[in-house]
Amino acid sequence: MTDPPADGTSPAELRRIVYRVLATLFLYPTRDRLATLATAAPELRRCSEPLRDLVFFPSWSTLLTTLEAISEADAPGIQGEYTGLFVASGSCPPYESAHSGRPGLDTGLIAAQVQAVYGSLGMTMAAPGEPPDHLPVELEFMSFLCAEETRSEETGEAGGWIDHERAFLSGQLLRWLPRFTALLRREAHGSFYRRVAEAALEFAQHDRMLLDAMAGVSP
Amino acid sequence: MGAAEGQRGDGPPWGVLVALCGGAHAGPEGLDPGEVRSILEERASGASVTIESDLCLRPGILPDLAADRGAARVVLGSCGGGPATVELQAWARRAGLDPFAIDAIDLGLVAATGSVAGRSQRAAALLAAAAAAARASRGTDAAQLRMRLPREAVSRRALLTLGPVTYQPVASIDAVGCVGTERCGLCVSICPKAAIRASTPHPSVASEACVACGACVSVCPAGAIGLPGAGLDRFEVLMATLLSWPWADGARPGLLFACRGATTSLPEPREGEASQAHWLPIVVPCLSMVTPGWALQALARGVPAVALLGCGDRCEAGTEELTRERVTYCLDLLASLGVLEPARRLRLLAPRTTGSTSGLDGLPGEALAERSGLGGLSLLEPAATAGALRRLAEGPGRGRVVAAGSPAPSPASPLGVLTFEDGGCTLCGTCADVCPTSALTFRQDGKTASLAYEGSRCLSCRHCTEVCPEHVLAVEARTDIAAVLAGRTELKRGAVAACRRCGRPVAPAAMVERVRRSLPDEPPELLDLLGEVCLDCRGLWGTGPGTMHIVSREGP
Repeated sequence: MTDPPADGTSPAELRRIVYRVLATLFLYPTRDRLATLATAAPELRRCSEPLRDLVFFPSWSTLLTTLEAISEADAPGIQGEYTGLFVASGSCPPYESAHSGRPGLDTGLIAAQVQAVYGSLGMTMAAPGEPPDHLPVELEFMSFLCAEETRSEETGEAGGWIDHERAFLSGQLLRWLPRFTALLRREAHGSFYRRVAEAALEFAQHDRMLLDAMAGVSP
Repeated sequence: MGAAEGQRGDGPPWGVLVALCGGAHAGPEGLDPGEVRSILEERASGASVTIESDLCLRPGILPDLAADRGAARVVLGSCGGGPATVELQAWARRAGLDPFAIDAIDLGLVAATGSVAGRSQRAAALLAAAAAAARASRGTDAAQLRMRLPREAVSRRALLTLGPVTYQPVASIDAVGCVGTERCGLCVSICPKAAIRASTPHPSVASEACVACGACVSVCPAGAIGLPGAGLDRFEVLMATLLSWPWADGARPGLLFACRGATTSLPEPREGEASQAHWLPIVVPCLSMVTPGWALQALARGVPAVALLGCGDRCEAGTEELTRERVTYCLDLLASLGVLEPARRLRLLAPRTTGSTSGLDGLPGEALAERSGLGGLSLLEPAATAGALRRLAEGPGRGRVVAAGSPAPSPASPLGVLTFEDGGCTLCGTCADVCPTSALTFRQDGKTASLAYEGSRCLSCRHCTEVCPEHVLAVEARTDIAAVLAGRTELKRGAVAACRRCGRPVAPAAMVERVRRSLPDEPPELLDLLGEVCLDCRGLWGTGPGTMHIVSREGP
């Protein structure tokens, strides 16, 4: 791999950033939010340079290129795409319960399962009424776990947080993200959210692979 | 992974660059790179060709060369001392290509002896085949990879400063194509590392245990298992290209299936020996991937001989015994077909050891069958073995091969033989429901029901015997040549009892009779209703504890 960044950013910190960005991308694309992402894209590219050798990087790089090119004129189109795909009776509901279990029957059960995972680590939903199995929430939770891993590296207790990350990826996020992405590829008429979903899927799959490989490595 | 828009899955073929290292055995004792390029430009459609000096020493330029030509796949004709797979993978990833986008073909074996023109022809054939396979490849998903960290890894924090990580391929099961664990499960039983779990409804691969030998890929009757860089479709394209190559008469080479771990120990030619130049190597992850059908298909399509070279007791998958059983089975089968000296047609070579013979000496002068077109070349078992049998016994060139019997039972037989007891069968059709290849089929057209069997599809999984309620089926792992050639035959046909009220089918008459026999203490009128009134026309109510009457809606 390339030399580490000068500020010594750890792998966990880089992963936290990627999960945070992906979570933001699955929230409603307000003009401010899109402008912030477009502004941040070059810096994101710079700080994710150490990840260049990893196989998910091409799709992440493609996504960054897309963000760098966003202009204010693109906002209505992206908002329309978001609404058509993800809102109300959209064609591609971004909820774990829509893509796991028995359709229409296990919604509450799956949401409760996810809520229980959050609760076991002392987390609750910031916005009451927000479904815990909403994709940006699950991605944000992964970002939180990576942040805790980073904080624990100093005390040598990061291993436990890595176990939580592996468990959440295998037990929740990656149980449904492949199906969601396949559906989105079919339903998305524009390319923006297709790229977002593909980057999210490839990163999450690679992350599980990385965590499995790292499981036996010392802090 | 590095896929361009519209090139995932079944998208348009990839652009391919064939890059020939200018030093790859070039010269009067080796290849003529210019001649190789000319042949490729004529025959390798869709591929651009370049010759670069010292390419093996400068693999980092490959992605740039590919980008200049709009190619997303590269075939590197190397001189054996070329870059390691790990290095090529790293260069591919760094350029945003699929990690398996660069395929290095060692031209050493074909450049050893023979005329320069012959060597160049064989080298071009190998490169063209690899280019065709690259064009048709499907790309890689992260779910098909396992990361291997460098051995010297000491801390997670230092991860980003370590040398290039390696991505190893892992088998993946397509849930859509898989017929399910309960109907098949062959992949679970063949895996030498127990890396495939019999989960339901579909088996699952434990990536940390998978050694990517490919044994599961070639045993799956549905072709539902993929392996990056080593899928069945890759080898089908490789073989189809090599088998259809317009070799000059008398120059048709043999096929050498060589395990990846054995390629550094290819037998060296003995002094004065010229025949090694007449073998074309196809490198496989492990010989456990080479089923009997692969070798038999090659022999049935004009290849004079097939050889297998494994890594012997260094085999990580530990499947040398499986390969020996398969070779023994094939030799037995060839002998049953009347082939003389079958051991010259199919050879299992030992890895090079001091003093061993090369084993690649001489090719039979004639092939067993004519090269009659490559339509329908499939390596999917049991169709691959059955199709090859049919070609050898009945296809063009028959007369050299005469079926003289059938080989002995063998666990390596991709085909099975079904024994059926007509008298006990009730035509329930359960056996057909669980058959993963539709070797058993059940049909009911309202008035009659029939059970049929096609020997060329039976892979002796024995699921039918396990579910048959009347125990009228037995399956043996054996190849019955006559049964394979016979096509689909009807095992039993019987009448279907019809509802006396609406006329719709109730059940096969044999089944009704079986039920009657198993309920001797029930009133005759009840038994009559079971066989004469369909479910829709029946009404059910009870008249007291433990009492239930089945009545017709016409009245009791």
